[in-house]
Amino acid sequence: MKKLILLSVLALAAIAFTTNQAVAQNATAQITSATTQVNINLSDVISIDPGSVADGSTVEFNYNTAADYNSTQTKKVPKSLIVTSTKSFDVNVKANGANFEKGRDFIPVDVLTIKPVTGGTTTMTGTPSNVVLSTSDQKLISGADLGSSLVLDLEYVIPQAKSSSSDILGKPAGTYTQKVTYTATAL
Amino acid sequence: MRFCFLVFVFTIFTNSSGAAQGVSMSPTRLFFSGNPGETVTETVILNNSSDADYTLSINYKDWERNIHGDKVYYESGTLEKSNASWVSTLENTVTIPANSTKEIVVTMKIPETVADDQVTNCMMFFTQLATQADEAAVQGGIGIITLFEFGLHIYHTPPSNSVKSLEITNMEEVTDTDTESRKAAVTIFNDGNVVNDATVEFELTNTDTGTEIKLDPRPISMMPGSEQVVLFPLPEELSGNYLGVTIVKMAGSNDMRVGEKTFAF
Repeated sequence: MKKLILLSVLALAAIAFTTNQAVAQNATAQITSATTQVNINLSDVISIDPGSVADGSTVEFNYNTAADYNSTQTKKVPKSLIVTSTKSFDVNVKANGANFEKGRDFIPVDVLTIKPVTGGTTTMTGTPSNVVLSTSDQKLISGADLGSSLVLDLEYVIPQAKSSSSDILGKPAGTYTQKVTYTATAL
Repeated sequence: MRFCFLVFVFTIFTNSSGAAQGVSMSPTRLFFSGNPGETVTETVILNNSSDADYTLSINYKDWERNIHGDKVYYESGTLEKSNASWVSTLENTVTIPANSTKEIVVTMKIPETVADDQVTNCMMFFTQLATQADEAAVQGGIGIITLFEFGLHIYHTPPSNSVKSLEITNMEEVTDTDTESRKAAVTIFNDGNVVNDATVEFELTNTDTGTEIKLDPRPISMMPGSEQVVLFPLPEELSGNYLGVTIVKMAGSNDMRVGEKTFAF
């Protein structure tokens, strides 16, 4: 019996020893193989965030009273564009057609001026330019610094000189629409 | 321990998905290289990590930079250095469903007769198409439907072109006629034969007091054979004798150009 107990103890000790050794070997193996090469692959990216108003959204001007026609209307649209870019970039703007259209009635798109807002929630840098809308690509922001979630607030303005002119005044009542496209390109 | 690891992985995943919102395009420029008669391809990746589907049309324009580096666009095929007619994709429109990625293969078929030393370019646009819901949203008066567009630079560089060089040809003070603000103007010429990206730095040192003024550096990207005037707005109160030093650091190399000129403001 004593011999059996002694053998059992030795067997257990042997198992425990070999197990520990195995663990130790594993630990040693893990340490020796712990050198891992981490590759960080960077690609140039430009993105427009879905919070941007320039994303199928609409801006509206309503002319319901004489005072509306005789005043400059301004619509300030915060977060018109939210851009992330890994390189310096430009933002251009253009109208998709020469006129705001309602069936066969037209209002020329140059009644509208788009102005980048400095301050407000704008964090986009670069050189801002006010744009009288046309079908040509016109620079709105040039040479903006790279960055993440850069915000551009915009003001849409129809000056009184336009709203009280025959461009707008006297046109048949109704809804005139046109699409305006903001283009983001790397420098 | 295992639990901690799972929490760590979960945190990484939730953070990264939260950060990558929006519609994105990568890369922002495609550089093709091939011999006359060859067909070469590159891939651009469009990612839509928003919850809405987007349909984008693909179209092309020619472009060049004016003397201040601003892009000026023309109808495709207008400019001598246009390669718009060499470029194609399988589809003219691409729909990117919500939370998905699309790879667009851009193919360039280089004509047999093209000059074998001229860099050519164009811009490929991915333009958001308005949905019926967008159009129906306009309720009255004058309504503007706002859409977005990405411009992807397309360049072809002949394989034999490898000279990367810029030259500073002039430094002077100019006054902006609109704002009457003063600027330092540095003229740079790309005398190499590849597209060259660089950062232009400008420093002023008062020759009497030693006071230094560092102006914000400007990134540039220039086609070979082109000239650009880089403007640095000067502080309004600036007066005295200064040494102006401009440093042009070319991207992807340690090569730089340095120019000096004394200014009396």
